[in-house]
Amino acid sequence: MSQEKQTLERALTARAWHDPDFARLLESDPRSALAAMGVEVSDNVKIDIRMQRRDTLYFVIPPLAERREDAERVLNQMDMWQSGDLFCWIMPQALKLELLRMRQGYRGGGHE
Amino acid sequence: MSDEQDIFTDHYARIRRDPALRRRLIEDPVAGLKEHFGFMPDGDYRIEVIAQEPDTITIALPAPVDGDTSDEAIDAACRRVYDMLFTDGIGGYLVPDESLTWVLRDMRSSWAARNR
Repeated sequence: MSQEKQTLERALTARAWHDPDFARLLESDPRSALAAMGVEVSDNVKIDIRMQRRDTLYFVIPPLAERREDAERVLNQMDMWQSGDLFCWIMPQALKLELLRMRQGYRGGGHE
Repeated sequence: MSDEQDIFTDHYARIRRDPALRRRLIEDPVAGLKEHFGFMPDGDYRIEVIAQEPDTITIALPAPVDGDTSDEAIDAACRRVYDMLFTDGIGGYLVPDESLTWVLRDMRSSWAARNR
């Protein structure tokens, strides 16, 4: 499949599933693993990789509130059933342009 | 029971305001949940915490079914990509497999019953 037609999500999943060394690197040093695919991540952004397991519930928790009174507001809640069949990104909306850059970086000339 | 006073909403409020509680939950999710809800059901399952942070992008990759890593399986798993962009936070569970559906529901039911 050409890189123009393959999404970052599919390419990342394929490498993680097929290449144990890459999967280990992805978990231990996701920035380097993504760089190997031509995807650069800004220095001030952290990447948290979860290789979902079928026997594991992933409890998604909100960030610390900036002000104490903010913590008392009723939080938006969700459950994502059968998430093992999905590729999920979870991030602050303020980083949405970072995700756009990552996708464009892969599309524009990675090393896949 | 109103949204303002239910035990789940209260838990999220504590997670948002108490850094030490939050840290304990992340380091040992089962103990952290038991600390708040008073009980954790037995079962063949694990729990991990995905902590939303203002500087962090989390990627949750799909999980192979029965070790099937064929191209067809990858296509099927990546056909649906979900972007979850939060503003001040969101709480809940990713439930990778149908077998865990009732684990989570039973967990919540038992918590609600014990705190009634």
